Amino acid sequence: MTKAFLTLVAVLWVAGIATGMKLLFDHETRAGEAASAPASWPAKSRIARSADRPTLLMIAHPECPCTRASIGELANLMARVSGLVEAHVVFVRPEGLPDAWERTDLWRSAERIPGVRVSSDPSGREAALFGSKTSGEVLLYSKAGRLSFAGGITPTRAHMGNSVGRERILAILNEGRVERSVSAVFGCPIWGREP
Amino acid sequence: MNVEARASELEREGHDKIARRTDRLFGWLMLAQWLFAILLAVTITPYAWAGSKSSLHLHLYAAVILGGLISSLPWLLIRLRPGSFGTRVAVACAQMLWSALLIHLTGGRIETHFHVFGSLAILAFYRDVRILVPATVVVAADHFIRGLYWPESVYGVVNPDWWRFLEHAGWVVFIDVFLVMHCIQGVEDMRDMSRRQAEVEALSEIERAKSRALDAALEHLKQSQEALVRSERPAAVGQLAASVGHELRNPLAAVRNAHSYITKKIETGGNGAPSAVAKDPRVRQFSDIINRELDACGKIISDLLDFARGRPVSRRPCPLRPLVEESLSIVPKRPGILVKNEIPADLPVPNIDKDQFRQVFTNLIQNAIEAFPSDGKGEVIVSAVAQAGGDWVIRVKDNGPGMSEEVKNSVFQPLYSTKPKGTGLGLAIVQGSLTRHGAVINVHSTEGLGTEFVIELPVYEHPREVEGHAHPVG
Repeated sequence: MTKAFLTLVAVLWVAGIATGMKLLFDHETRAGEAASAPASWPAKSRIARSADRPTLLMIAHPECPCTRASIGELANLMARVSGLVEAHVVFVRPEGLPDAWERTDLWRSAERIPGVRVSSDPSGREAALFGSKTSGEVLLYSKAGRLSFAGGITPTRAHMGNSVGRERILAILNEGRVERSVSAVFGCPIWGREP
Repeated sequence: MNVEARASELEREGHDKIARRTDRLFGWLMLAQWLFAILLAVTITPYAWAGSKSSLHLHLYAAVILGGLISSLPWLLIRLRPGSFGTRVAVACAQMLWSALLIHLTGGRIETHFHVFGSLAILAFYRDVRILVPATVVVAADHFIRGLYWPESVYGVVNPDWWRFLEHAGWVVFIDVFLVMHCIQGVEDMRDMSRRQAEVEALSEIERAKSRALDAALEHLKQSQEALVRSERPAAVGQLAASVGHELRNPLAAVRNAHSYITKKIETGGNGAPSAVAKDPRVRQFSDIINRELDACGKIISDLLDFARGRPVSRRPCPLRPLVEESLSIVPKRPGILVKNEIPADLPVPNIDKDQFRQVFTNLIQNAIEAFPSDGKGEVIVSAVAQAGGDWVIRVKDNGPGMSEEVKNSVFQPLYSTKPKGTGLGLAIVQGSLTRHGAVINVHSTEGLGTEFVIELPVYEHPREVEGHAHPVG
């Protein structure tokens, strides 16, 4: 086999890998649709909002593999803001799916996080109320019920690590900032569109 | 090959062996990583979901297709060019790309980042510091490009300092430094080992040469000892033969005279008429036996004295063909054995001792005839040619049963005989006579095919003519 042929193979190899990595990179950095969250805690919500501290709400798809990183980052976050926030993770069960379908390993992972309440959201009622469209979206409401943050807490899709969202939530909770903040969210669509 | 060159050769062989062995290791590692990546994708991210609908996750495609692609070039080169530098570079790049892919597939888990450092350590198995460069460049490039286009994915902040990728690459360089030290030390160790092995081989070669010289000396000593034995044996045998021959000759002559007298008396009866004893047929029969055995004893004594005396050569021109005819008239005939004298009549005439050469031909021809079985058939051919230089080559050839190697090697030794009643002196006498003529005799024999004695008789140069006169006398 000639050197020229092997060089050509090597060039094609590099090009193929570069293309594959680019596709993977694009997939991981493509943010999901941001939530159109209400500025105030919706009155129709069945989730109990705390009146004495901010309330953090994560809307999640129970089968979304990307949300595993969001749950992991929530665990990191809660370890640093213990007692400063009341946290809820709501797992959406799309309409037509059986009971307990949402009790996946993600559910169990969320249950293991101290200070987090896990609940089911049949037919996505709560998700609709909060305008959530992408799994892993976090909404932070002040103790007065005003929206102070909306967005994701992972740097990319299915990727753990430092993120803008997590830093902003920490700033709000630790430093008492009240300005509204957003960040990109990465995860599966909660509603029926193809990812 | 000197020690330096051999040490270099051994070092090259050592590097090549390590490179090929590590290539094979990475070949299997590439396969294991590919299978592991597929397993990861299948168990962690099999499907992407949108509401109640699912589809295969991109990670699964990445694991199967991109993972297979990453491993493909190393596999190809390991198979086609094992041990080459290009293969090592491809392996190094692929291994670091595997780190990147596995980090992606495991969701950026910090634990998976240790794959980078583990990979660098395994690459150090090659003991080639050069391949740590492309490996480090791949890691740095991955961080640089991702930091450039999506810094949050690498650093967790949107606007990191431009040099942040160097911080990540710096830790890779940190481990590189120690791996480089390890590689350099490994190469030096291999160089030392190669040199030591080359020195051991050189010493071993010297020892082998000494051993060969010792073997040669021993062989020479053995040959000298055998030659000494051979030279001493004829002398000892000669002394014995002279003594025995001399001591037996007179008593035998007395026995022969006495027998002759008794025979005469029996035949004449003392008064001119045959006695009654003479009429008994058994008396004549026994008398003939006594005569025959006395002749045999006389022949043995004659052989012993011929061998012992080593008579001086009295040369004169003597044509070979008539001389062979004389010998043939002496040698007893055997039915079925044809003896041919094929010596050309016009063959140049050599200067030889006629009596001794007659004895030579007689002994050789008689030996050849007696070599045949008692009921055997065959032929004995005596031939001779004169060579361009004036030498003669005389052959006595038979198509008898031939000799074994052992017999052939001993055939000229005095007292060695394969015949029940042989004295073992015939060929020793032949060799002695020819040696005194300056001739050489060799024997060629193949069992089942026959035997050939070849005499190389040189031209005899008279001493006076050697001193200044022109014509050698043949």
